[in-house]
Amino acid sequence: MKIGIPRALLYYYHEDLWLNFFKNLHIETIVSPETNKDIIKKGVNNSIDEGCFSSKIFIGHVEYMLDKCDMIFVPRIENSAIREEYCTRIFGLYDLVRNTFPNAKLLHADINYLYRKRESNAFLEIGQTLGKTKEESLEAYKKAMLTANNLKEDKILKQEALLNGDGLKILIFSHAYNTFDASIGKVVTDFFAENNIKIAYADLVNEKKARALTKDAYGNRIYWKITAELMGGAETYKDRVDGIVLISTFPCGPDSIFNELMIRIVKDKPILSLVFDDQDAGAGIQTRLESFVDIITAAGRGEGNGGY
Amino acid sequence: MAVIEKIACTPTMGDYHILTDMLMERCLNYKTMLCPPMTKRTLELGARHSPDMICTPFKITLGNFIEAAEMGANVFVMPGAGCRLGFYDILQQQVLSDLGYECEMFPLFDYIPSVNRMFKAFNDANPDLTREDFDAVMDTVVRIALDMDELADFMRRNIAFEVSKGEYEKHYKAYLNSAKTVQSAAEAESIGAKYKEDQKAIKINKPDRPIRIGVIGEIYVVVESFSNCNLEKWLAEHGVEIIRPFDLSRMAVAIFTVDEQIEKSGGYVDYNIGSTANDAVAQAYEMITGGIDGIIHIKPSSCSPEITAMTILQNMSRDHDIPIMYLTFDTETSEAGFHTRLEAFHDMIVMKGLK
Repeated sequence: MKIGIPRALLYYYHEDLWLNFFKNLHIETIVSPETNKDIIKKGVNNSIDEGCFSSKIFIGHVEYMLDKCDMIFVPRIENSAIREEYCTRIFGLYDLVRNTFPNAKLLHADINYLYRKRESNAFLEIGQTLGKTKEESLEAYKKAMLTANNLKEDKILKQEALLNGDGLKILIFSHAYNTFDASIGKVVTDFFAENNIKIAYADLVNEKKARALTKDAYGNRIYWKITAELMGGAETYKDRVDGIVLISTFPCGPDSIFNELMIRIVKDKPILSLVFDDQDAGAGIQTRLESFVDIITAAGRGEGNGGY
Repeated sequence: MAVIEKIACTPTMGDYHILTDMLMERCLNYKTMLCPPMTKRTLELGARHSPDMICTPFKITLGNFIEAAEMGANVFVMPGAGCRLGFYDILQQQVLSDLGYECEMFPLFDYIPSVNRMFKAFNDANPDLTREDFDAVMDTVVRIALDMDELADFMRRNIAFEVSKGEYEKHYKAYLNSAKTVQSAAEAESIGAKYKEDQKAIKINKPDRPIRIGVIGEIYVVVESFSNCNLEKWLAEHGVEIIRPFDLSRMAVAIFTVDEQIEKSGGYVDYNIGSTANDAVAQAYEMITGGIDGIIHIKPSSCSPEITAMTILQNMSRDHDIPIMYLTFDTETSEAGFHTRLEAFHDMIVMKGLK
């Protein structure tokens, strides 16, 4: 039994949990490669053209996996607590994949705290589908959870050290599945790395603290988990960086509101907003990144305030 | 400091503003104002001050608000729940304040819609409001909403066949005018009953089996005819019986009955796919199994739940051999191009039927 995991969307948030869960159960997994032109083409060909680029990439990864594994792991995740929802595109994903590839064998379970379907129950269910006992699955889940949490804490500590160090720094304000995708965020982060600019991530932050900050600013209104954490993360880090880079894919629902809000409320930092789609406009992105680096470098030397 | 008089305004969405106006007037003693009639300027203003990627209702309602703010409105009613609709007011307030308008937003909900949360919103604005008074107004409003939707649904099914043109519209407008002034749910009910009776008396010349076209999709473009280039008017002019079950009354139920809709979707969906997209799928399945010649699925540009629904509807359309046309509306939609597509779809259905 080999489980295929598409390297897209929520994989980037739960990579450590998912991979370790299957590893602890001694189940072989295969993760699709970094997004490439071929995967994008597969995704675009199998999607409604109006869907968001990130979900097209997901569909591309699923098609890539179709003949390479026994089952494809597509959990259906609506929220991770009450008032911590994912966007509708993400929680419609299972039905989207099922209707796009009716013959694909999908490994899935439902996570929806409104229906008391907890994450732990979902992993028990998955273990059961794979012929494991309840105890084995629970043990595997708990261990994987611990590993994942420790890894995240390490990353947060490293980021703290980076932010307290010298040099120019920028804050990436973007969903993890865009930030770390080879065809989206990596284009941006590679560019900054080449130019010796240090990179911090708004969502690399203590989730609870970030959500509390967002709640302070907007009341109990923002019920999108990823957005609430990004907004709180930006609040936590923005005074310690030289510029903020918003990365989004076309047409993203949450970003369409909150990236615009960021641009409107953050007045004292240079902000660059980049939107990626399936049209592959690499040269345009390159030019904008170069000019952004010029601006924050000038501001760092005290020439001008860095505004546009 | 002079107290600024509160003037509340609800964005135009069909005729539903009469419901929120009633709530704002009777629960909060605010004045209310209609949005200026929508024009190309409304769209241009809205689009100019909105982010590109946002869905169309944001742009149009922002246009409404800017035009209303120019006329003096300073309280804007928004649902505050749903998909990204739940966050419209947060950004719109920022945009309006950046434009220099002093205004407040009045979101009715803040996550999952409920009457309790709605009472809280009104009670926060007017601490003297008792739950009894609020419930009395709510009962009236709900009665009017149900009657409005029932009258409009009957009208859609028959308007293409009325003997003297314009009679249904005139009758419906008269109902809305008298509904505005009713003082209790009982009075609303008796007025509603009278108008429903009168409506049945309007003479029609309807064939036994007219062409039947279903309209499904996202609530705003379904309900607001300005945003869908008068789709239903076009269909009525071409002798089509319009089956469009989606309206405010159905949506209020739909939000809480996703599981039932999943059951009524013929096995095409397993879970909630967001907002009211499950209901769009369930409506399509209901139409397909109940006898329909074609379905038009309409949505605003970049409406994420409805895009998910489209993938599912495509399968349904293929499996059951029922044509479904997908139309997306934005602030740049050209009416002429849109009518060409409607004509082609209509012709196709007529030819398919003649076979």
